Amino acid sequence: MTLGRWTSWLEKQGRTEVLGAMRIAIGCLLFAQAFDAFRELGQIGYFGDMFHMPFISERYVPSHVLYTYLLDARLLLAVLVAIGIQARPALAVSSLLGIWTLASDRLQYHHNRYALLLYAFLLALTPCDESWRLVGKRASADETGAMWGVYLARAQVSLVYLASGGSKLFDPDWRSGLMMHGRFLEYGYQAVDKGVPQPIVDFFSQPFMTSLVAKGAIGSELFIACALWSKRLRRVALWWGMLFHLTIESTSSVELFTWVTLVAYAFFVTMDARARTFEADGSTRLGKFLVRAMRGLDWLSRFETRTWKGDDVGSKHVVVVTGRDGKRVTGIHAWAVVAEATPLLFPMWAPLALIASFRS
Amino acid sequence: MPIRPEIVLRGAVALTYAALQIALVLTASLRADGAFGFRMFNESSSVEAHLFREVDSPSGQGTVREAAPDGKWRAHDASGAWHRFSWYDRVKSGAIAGLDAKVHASYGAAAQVDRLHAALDDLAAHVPDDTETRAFVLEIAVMKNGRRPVPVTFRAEVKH
Repeated sequence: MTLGRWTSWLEKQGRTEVLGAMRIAIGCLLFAQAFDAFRELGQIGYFGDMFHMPFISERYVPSHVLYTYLLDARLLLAVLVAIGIQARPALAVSSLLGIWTLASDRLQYHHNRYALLLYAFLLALTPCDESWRLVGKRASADETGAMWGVYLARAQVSLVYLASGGSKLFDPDWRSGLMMHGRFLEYGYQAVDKGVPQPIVDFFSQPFMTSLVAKGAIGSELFIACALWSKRLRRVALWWGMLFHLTIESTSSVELFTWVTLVAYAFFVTMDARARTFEADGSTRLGKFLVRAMRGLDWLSRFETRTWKGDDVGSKHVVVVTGRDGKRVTGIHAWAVVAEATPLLFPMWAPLALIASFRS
Repeated sequence: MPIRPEIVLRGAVALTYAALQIALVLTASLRADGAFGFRMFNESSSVEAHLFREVDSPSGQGTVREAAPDGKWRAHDASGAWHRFSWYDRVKSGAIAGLDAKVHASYGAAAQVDRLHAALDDLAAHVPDDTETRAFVLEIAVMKNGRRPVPVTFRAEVKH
């Protein structure tokens, strides 16, 4: 990378709405993480009074009193992050306090906890406090900020997949499916407990299937790590990744990992705002409802949402969507665009886009 | 055109962060639990650990090994009073496998063996009221990814 490209990357600006929404989500996850630690303190006691394994020297491990204050502080900081008061310093301090806790007792270490703390730190490097503030001044319409922290966060998300997929690829037990077979045999009951039918668990527990699933998991992780950087493949990678994590969530206990990762996916959203338009027929109840629903679901500020502006396209349809490229679409094409840009509807994007591709 | 100090600072932070994260991922295998390396679902291994105590032989010569079922035992203190002890008095984290049952090795067999070994040393250093136990022994059967059990034994002398 030349010096010019390097500096332009560090100076690049973007809209801040997506980051504001992410800040609220990360704040909630930080609160949940700190709350869990607080509950553990009440139920089990202070970790320093029992067997623990610090990464750091014992003298840097917080005392019982300090640890209690530290958890109080993490709860308070998480609230500040979510509501947007001194959010960036709160994110950074919250992350560092969390990492200090993990360093004080590696028995508390879990990948999902560490990943959340890293994303919180990286979010602190972005202008995430410029929008979605629940208190204080409202953001102006053209709020922008430096995006270098976003690119660093994207690299972190990619690195997580690369590390996970890469380590599996170099592990013969993983490649052959031996590990996956053992996992299905040992943990199949968790999937059944979560509602997956027993015959499905039995089917996937066969050696041939576990070998296939293992190869699929390795391929998926490496594909996501790389495809996130391709403009053409990014949304496919995000959709596949979401499916991948929801499958893991429904079959295993992974604490907050699914939600941490799905929130981190928003780092890959194009940092603009309201580049698409969602219009609905305001003369009908359905049209009015759809506009209200869209406003409620558009957490990433992807759409300019309004009721009908009478024109030749709109007269035959309830909804008309204008994409970022200026193309106006209706029917299933419109819903594919809506699903593509709306977090809660994103699982439906690929099937809708597939069906839409068969209709001119 | 000279580069603004703010941009230099951003570049330094980005490079330091990236270098640190890559280093942590690449060195994960040096840590038994692979911490900071994002090796998700690395194994489906199990361990089964049993705790024993070495106490003075009734014959007065050497020591004999006594089982501590479920990690529990009773012993006299210096004044002759009985005390109940348990492995779980000190080991309360769910990150460590329980005793006398085959359990999943969270973060892999190596991580669990490392944790159990450290927990045994910790136990031996924290039983001041047990004047009978000379040493603790932990026998662990390690089943990596469903393979046949491999025995591992650790011994920790009690520090009276």
